[in-house]
Amino acid sequence: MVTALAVAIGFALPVAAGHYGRGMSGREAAKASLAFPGPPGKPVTVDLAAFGGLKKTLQPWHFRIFVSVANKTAGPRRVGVRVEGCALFFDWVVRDYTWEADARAVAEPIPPGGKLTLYLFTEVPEELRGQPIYCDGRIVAFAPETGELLTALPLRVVNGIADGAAHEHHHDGALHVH
Amino acid sequence: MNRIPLKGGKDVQNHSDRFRLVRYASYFIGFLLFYSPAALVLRFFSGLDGKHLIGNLCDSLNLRMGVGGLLSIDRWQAMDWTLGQVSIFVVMAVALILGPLFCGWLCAAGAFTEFVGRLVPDRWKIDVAGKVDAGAVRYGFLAGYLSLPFFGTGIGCSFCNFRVLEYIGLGVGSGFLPALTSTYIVVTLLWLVAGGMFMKGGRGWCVFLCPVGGIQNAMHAIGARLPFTAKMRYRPENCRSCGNCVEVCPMRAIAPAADGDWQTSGGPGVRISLNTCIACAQCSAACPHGALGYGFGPLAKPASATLPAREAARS
Repeated sequence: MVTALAVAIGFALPVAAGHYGRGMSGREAAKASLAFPGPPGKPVTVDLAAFGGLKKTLQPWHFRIFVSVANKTAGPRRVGVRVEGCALFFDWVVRDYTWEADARAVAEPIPPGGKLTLYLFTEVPEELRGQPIYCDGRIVAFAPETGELLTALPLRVVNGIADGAAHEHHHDGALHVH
Repeated sequence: MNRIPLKGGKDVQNHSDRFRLVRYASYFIGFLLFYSPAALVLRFFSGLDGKHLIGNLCDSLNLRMGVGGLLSIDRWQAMDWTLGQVSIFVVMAVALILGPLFCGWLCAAGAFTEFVGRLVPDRWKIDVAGKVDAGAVRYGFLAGYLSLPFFGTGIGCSFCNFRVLEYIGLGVGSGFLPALTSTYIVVTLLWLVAGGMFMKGGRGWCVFLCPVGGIQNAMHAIGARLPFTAKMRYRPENCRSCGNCVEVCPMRAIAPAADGDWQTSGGPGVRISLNTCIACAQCSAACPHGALGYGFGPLAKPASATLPAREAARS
């Protein structure tokens, strides 16, 4: 009886965790999917007011954005990525490819059908925390050799502001990414 | 760093402590092999593919995802296996024949909490050895984990202690604390704090909540019963029930046996749970009497397997 109860508790844990995780992941971890050539992807909005209770308690001002850039051309392409029009300072963790920080681009070409994936980590600085909108810019993928825009995705970081209202507050601040 | 006091004198203590350092060195090699930024195994396989990529554990070589996909009908139909998914079969085969050596010698995520746990005095910790049916919870968790595709969900990444360890590494390397989601905060609290710092042995997450460890021990529990496989072998005739092995086992897999289970050189002896033993052999290093050792051969048969022996012990 005790063993059966222990098995049942063990079984219930991942099932409950899966449902909890699925509910939280959409609210706390933003995903930006870009592809070139192709139509613009879904705009990314990070709403700090929608974070879960644990997150709000322990890390209310930190968040990350997972960015993927897919090469849908027929040949290998080097890709650069930057954030424009956003006063937040992002730390970058680029996965699987060597990142050339000066060029803001990967060293190796992305093969056709391949993806460049990276994380943008940030913390809303204290001086911005009283504002309703922290960022209203875009994530841009570009060709590092020519500077040609490959694709871009609107990026907004807000604190409980509805989508429509966020558009009225444009940040034209300098680029603070590195 | 808290030292685990052992019986048998200074030599036994020193031997056990030196052996622990050897284990930690092995886990560090595991860190270099499997975790960013080194991830040498991934670099090797990427190099074979001509990509020469910077390694990253997740999505490419995360064994948790390999376990999670074992019952995925889509994955079996597509037969499109990633390196991580193939690797879980290798790990399972090794566990069947040689024991859960990945857990016992290479998994840096498990070793990290074991190490951190030693910073906290034992009097503040919960000890589950012999008190909780860890195998039942563990296999229940594994069954639930494998069933998640049927529930339309999954916890491959959101509850991943491997990933949290990478984040900690990135945070230490960059001086920047990575942003954690609520699920990662839960993992950090369970893996590092509750299961690591405040559970004796420092491997509470491994014992109860790791599907990679669970599936290895499931294989080990089958394989160890075969006479030609390797496992931690108990020699009750040498055992004097000093309890050193119980004290040092990081998985809390060893507990005092019931009276009459074994014919020992003194005391009731011990029992080793095949459902949680990771073949790290720390018990062997702490045993002053040669009653425990890793090797090939059959498991010792308890005296209680025969009724006359049990009755003789009772009398």
